Amino acid sequence: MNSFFWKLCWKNIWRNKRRTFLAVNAIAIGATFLIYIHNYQDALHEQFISNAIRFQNGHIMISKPGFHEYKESKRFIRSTTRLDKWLATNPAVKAASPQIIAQGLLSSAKGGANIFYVGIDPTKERLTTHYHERMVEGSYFENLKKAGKPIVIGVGLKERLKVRLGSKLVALTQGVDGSIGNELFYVAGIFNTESDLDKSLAFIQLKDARALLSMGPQAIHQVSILLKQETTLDEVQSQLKTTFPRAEVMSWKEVQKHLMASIEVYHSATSFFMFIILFISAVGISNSILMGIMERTREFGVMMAIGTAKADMVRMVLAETLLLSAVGIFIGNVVGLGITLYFHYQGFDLAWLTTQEVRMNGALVQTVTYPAIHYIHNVTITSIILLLSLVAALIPIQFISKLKATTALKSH
Amino acid sequence: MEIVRLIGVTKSYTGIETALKEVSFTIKHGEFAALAGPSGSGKTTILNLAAGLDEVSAGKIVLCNKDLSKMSTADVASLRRKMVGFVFQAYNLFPVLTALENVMYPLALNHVSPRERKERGMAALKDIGLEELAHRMPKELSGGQQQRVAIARAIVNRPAIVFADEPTANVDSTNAIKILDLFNQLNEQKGITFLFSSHDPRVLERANRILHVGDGTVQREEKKTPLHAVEAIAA
Repeated sequence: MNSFFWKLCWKNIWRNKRRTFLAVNAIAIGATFLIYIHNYQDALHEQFISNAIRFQNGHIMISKPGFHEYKESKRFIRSTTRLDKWLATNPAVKAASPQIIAQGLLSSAKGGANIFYVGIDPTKERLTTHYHERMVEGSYFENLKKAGKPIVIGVGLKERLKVRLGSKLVALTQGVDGSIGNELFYVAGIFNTESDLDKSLAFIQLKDARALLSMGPQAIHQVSILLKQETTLDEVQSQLKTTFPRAEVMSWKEVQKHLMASIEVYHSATSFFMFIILFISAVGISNSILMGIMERTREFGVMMAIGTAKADMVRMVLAETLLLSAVGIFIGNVVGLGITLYFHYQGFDLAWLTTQEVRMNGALVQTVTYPAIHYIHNVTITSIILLLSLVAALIPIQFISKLKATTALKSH
Repeated sequence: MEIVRLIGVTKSYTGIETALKEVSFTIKHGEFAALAGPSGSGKTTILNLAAGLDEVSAGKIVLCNKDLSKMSTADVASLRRKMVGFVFQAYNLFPVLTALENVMYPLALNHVSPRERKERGMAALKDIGLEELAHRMPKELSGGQQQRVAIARAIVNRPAIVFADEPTANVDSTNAIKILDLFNQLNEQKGITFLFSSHDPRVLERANRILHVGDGTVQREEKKTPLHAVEAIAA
């Protein structure tokens, strides 16, 4: 189709400005909403995932089979020398932190709580998790001047046990050999992650954890691995599985099944809304084009009389549909990206919609979200609308295909 | 040279009586022929069939040496695009295109280059004396001017034949005469063959051959020296 016909198609779609305006609006509003909501949702999910990775698991966790599921102390790794070497030489690995995890009782003079002890190497742990950045009192095992065994707890636990910095706490748990282990700790630091972790976790140093659980000098339960790039997750996990076939190598996605399921539900809900919005847009396009064509039935008769082939007329209908959609898509992309950019810098606050704290996987969901800017959504939504436009053109095309020149010439 | 030949053409519509019954005639190159007859006599049906816009129920039509019944719809459209011009009673210009763009439409269909399209479009408008109104929209033109633009559109492709369905029915006497003069001029100077349908005596006076149509058949044929030729001889 040459430029003459593109020009004709362009003029045709503006014959009834009101109708075209409505159809363009339907597409533009749909595209704007979808572009914004996808970027907003990405930011929200990134927040959830970041919380999961930086406060709980890292990208990959490696442990004895079954440890993650049962958290039994006896499922420990005796030595990680070979694993440490492998991790140190793998360019995809950013940091790795060995951990000992045990469930037990933590008591103060004024109360007790059933918690998870996490034995860590503070130097390595601060490279994989963000607890050290959430300290509100004391320190994360730094500048320890007081004699004794330090313990770092969350604000929730502090309130429950009614303790303060320097308070004494007694840890009680079952050792790997079946014995009862107990140690005296003092509160060295208090963190606040604004999540349920504040009530259920207590950090101690690796050597103290080994003593509490009667473990060997190199024993640990798991290694939490942080990657330089999320994109290498599958590759590194696969390499680890091959190199350490007797270990359980789990990605954060496998560990955080509930979180992933929640994200899937969000995606499904968005897809459903997307379907409704795009369906409305498609009906708008189809209706606008069909009405435009039916009003021009006589002109199509003239076109045929002059020698326009049906195939050329179908091309014109397609071109008009695409032009109409392109205008809506262009406006939708510009406005959608503009709104996304604005809130990307200013933040989008949903506090006015919520009456209480919203938690996701135990973590407090921030009401202010800074939408991501993922241009892929512009490309995807543009492609889907264009594709849908072609589908919407099927009804007008069917009308044109059945049109007879003599009948068309008689119409008014 | 034959331009159109109808051989025993019959056209009937489902549930309606036969519109044409075994119509046969030939239009030769350079003819200025008219189909005369009252409304509903079958004139427009003959034009539509002769141009391949509709299919015959029986019989055969040969247009520019091509048997239309043996051609696909696309091939018939292609033949019409190259060899046929059409003028309608109601002008039927495309309202979103200027006069020049309307004239250029058939050239664009034939993939003529933009530059040549414009040159030939302007030349056709000059032939009908409307080159100064080239950039006007149809609604800015009078009925007579619109019909002349439609004629320019019909001849711009240098067709072998122009079919004109009641071309003067919607214009006043002055414009009707201008249009008929234009047809005569194009017929004589450019050798374009014309086949009209009309019951306007002014059109029939100009024709050199009249096929009287009635009840779906060609009832009689009249060959005569057209009025303008008589006037020329007298002068």
